[in-house]
Amino acid sequence: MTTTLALARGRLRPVPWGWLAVLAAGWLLFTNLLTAAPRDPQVGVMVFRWAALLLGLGGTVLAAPQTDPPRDLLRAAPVPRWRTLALRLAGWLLLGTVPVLTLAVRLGGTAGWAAADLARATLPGFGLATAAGFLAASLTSVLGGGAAAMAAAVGLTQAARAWPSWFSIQLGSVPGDPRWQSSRAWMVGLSLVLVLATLALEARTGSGAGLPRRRPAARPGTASDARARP
Amino acid sequence: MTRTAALARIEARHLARSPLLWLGFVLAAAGAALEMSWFLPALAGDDLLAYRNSGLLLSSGAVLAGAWLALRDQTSGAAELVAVTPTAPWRLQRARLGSVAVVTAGVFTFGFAAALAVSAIRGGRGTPDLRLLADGALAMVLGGWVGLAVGRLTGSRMVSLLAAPVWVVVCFLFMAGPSLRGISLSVQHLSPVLNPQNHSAAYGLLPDPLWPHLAYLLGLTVLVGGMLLVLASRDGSQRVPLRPLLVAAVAGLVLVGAAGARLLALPDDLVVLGPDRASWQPVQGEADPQAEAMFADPGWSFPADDHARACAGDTTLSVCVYPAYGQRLARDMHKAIAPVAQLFTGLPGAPTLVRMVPVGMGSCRNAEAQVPEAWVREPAGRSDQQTRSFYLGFYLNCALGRHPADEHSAEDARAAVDFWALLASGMLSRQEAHRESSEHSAAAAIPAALAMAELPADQVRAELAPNWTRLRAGTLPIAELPGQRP
Repeated sequence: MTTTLALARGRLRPVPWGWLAVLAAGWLLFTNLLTAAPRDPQVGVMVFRWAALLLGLGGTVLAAPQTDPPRDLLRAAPVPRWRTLALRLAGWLLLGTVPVLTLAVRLGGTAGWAAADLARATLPGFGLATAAGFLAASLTSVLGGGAAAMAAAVGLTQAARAWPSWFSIQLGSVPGDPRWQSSRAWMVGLSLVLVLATLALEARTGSGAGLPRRRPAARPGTASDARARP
Repeated sequence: MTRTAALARIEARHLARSPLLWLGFVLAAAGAALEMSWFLPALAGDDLLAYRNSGLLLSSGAVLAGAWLALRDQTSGAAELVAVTPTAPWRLQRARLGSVAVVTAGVFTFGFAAALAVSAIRGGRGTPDLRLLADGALAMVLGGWVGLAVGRLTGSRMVSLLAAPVWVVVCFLFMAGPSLRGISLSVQHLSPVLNPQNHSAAYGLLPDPLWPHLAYLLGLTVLVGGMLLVLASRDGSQRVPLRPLLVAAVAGLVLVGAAGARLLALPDDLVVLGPDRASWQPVQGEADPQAEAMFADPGWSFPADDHARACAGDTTLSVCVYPAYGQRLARDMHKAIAPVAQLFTGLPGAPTLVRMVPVGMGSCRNAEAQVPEAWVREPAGRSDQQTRSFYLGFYLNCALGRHPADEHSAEDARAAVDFWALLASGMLSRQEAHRESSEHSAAAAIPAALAMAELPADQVRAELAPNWTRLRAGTLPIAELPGQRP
């Protein structure tokens, strides 16, 4: 049990969880202010949905190579490291979902939106941005991953504007739209694909199969940390 | 100077390969292409679309690229190396600022020029407003330097990443100023990237904030650049020369203050009511009920302004549009309207000229049908047939004495003559007319129109002529139309 906890701690440690918690809390306060600013409450809801997408940028630090500096010399043997990323992703989803749900409850009733619908409208977007940033950052960097996640959001919005009748993902769909259900299903599905792709890439690298990657499970600050690495 | 220039060139080459900037470019290009496809091509109009679509996305890409440049030395460990070089850090920073400015402005210029080239290939004409190019390029430089400042001051990748969306949010907050609670000033022109909505190919931006906005952006850019030089000189023993810096800071503050005050004084919108600038009506807020009421008045029309000079036509009818849309649009409109116009030739009130105007709802002025520019420019979602019907609508409304804002009775004989004109000119087939009769609100008029269409067109016109004034006044019953059985 102690070993498991030590392993989990080691896998999570390089990620600046304190800063991510500050980001999530700051997002909650800032978005709360922003949603109250427009005279039209419907615009406030739109702001909330876009802000949820932006919160997903936090997912970039989980997988970026800069989070795990190269320490190949300290690695005893190749190990499947996808668990590390999976654990970090789970932690971030937990941390990021809390402010989104809190704000959804707080804004419930705004412009005719029920809190549950607000949560249903925003969480898939948050998940998709997280997953896109997660994959792109694992291949590039924090900035590269974040830029890719933002580009994905903007690109999807433009594609939905250009081909509204057949493009499956409509970030702005509302309850009652013909695409309301399918759009969210597509977003969740695409997020899962992106996450699985990231983990698969990581697992391949971990077993020594391919990419010249250099991710240890944890930053070995001390001897005990080094021993705790998986 | 040579050393600084050489360094600037190296940094510029490095930055020009940054995917962060090019990602913004690709998105901006896609957005601009999408929006340009919704409008008729016109160089004086597509320049604004290119600016608006590229501005926000590219400048946020510039923020990211600037931040990446500032963070790069930290990652590579070059900061220590730079600190011990004989060149003063502020000179290195100056080279870096120059490289960011050249690359970001260059990318915007490339995108802007590409958009105009596409517009010209599609048939766009007119003179693009190069102040938009200067404004967009300055906004890119400002974005890049802000990114450089964020990266340098924080040293954090996450904060640098968030700087880009925060930049966009700040721009949006300014743009949305009038629709925000507690904001009574017109702050939308203070956004680093403008979002002008009201534009005419003949009258330009309404209102035109570009000159003061250029000064405002220049002031902001000078201030941010000066701050970055001061920050850099803190790291070394060689200080940045104080006097030029102070002059630049004061100039920057004066520019920002004076131009900012001018921008705040601008109205939210301007309604052009004639060629005389004194008649233009400033609008605060999103809509002007006074202007809308004026346009709905059947007696109102836009005065002659001699701006619609691209014409096409024959002895029956001329169509004139703004030269920016080219003669092709005039020819297309004439081709759509001419078959119907021939049927009404010589009848009192039948237009002999269709003219593009900047505002209104399609008014009539003597023998002139007026077509609002904004309605014609945006053919998105209209099929070719719908576009032809749209052009015809302006003509027929004037010919038959109708106003778009009026309510029309289903028993109105004008609706029957309208359908007859479409049938007789071949714009509408009998099958389509029968289909319309089951769907159209003026269903009673269609059998009458079909009966009229059984007669030769000349006969119908001859029989309509004595009743024409009553028909245009809306007092002629359907039963008195040609071909109706008693």
